[in-house]
Amino acid sequence: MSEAKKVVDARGLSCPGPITNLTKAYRDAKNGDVLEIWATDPGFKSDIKAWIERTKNELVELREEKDKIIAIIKITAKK
Amino acid sequence: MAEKKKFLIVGGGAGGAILANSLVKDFDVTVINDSPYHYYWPQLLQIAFRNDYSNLYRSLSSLLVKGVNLVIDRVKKVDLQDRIVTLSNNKTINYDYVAIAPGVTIEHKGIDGNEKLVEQYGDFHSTPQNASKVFDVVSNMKKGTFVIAVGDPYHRCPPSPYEGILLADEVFRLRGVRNDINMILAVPYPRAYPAETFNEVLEPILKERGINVMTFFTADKIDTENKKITSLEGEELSYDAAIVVPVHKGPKIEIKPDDAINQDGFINADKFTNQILKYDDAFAIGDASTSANAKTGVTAHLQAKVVSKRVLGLDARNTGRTNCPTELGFEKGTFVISDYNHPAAKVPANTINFIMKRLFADAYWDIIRHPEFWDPIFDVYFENTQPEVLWKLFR
Repeated sequence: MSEAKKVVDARGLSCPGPITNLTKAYRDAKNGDVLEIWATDPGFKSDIKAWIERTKNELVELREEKDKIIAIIKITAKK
Repeated sequence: MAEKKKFLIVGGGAGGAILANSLVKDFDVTVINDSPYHYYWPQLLQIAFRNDYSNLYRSLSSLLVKGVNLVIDRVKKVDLQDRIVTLSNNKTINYDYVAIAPGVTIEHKGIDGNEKLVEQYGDFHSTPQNASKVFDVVSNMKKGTFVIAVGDPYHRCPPSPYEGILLADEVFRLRGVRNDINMILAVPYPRAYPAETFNEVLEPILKERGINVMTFFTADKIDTENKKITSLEGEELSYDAAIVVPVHKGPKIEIKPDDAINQDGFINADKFTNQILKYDDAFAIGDASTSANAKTGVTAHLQAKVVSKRVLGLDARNTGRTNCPTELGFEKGTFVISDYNHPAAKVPANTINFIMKRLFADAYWDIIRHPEFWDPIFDVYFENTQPEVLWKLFR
């Protein structure tokens, strides 16, 4: 099975839009996939950290750009 | 006088019926609905927890203003390019304008095991029959763990899982069995209620009522033999009775071109204008549309008003306003009121808000049937309860 990289664009959605969009992408993802989430909601940074802690997936990168917050997640913990 | 243009409306729910009644003066309006009845879906909660069927449905024809044509049939296909709607018997109807407002499709099979679970315990998002099963469960359960879990964050009526668990709590308390029942609400979000601001109103109430909240729990698989729900996030939850909010998909209508719908079948429409793609004669409103930031009747209602103005040449735009009456049990209620620019205001729980919800349910049929009477009242109401205003009142 090939591993995929998918961008989840949740810009303009306020809390918890980005997390629900991530949840939707997570349902279709498999271990090894990389999800890149774009968000503008400032609450997203703490929510994504809490999500990682609970689901035990890997947060590869969390950075802020001029117009968005980007989280790159490697799916490793899906059962 | 020039002949009126043909306006087809697919779906006679809150959005479709209000739109039809608002347009009939200026257009030749036809509503196509797959059933002769119009359902007031919030009543499913009242059936599930109060066995109250009073406001469930009315005949659609009784809600449409004289002059609106009604066709009872299933729409198979809408071709936006050629402006043709195809019915179940392959009969075709052409239009000058179309609004697609058929609501959602509930897919229990979208969550492994939910078809079996709903047979056992029912739910309050699909049918009156399933809601009545919930009433049997909450009326007879004596002890154990009662769970409401969310399997799809994009379900109808965002506050409904919270109303469900709080109304179940009310039933258990009134029956004197609450001390022997562990109540759990499992949600996909980082906190009890997704919107952080409204969570400040709701979470203390859930806590006070002894309801345990599991966060980051998106119901994914249900093992009905061993009575366990597994979440997408990898955790397990045991139950004695459980309701899992089912997966919602778009309408089962073929829409051409293909890029008019997203991967879940919802119709891609502009969140400000409800226009579908580049087609300025085609709109999608309400639950079936991606333009709805919340799947609620008020969204469909307000979108219908925006479309009815736009087709007369006015530059009306959606503000994303929500106005979700939320029942908390024991004659208390609140409202989830937000818009595109303001998060949900912290509207306090009180009895007036509960009464408002009840009055609204009783007035619902009249609101659909008589927009000319209710529009000015709603204009005043919405203006004075703008999230911006409420944010100043409730800090």
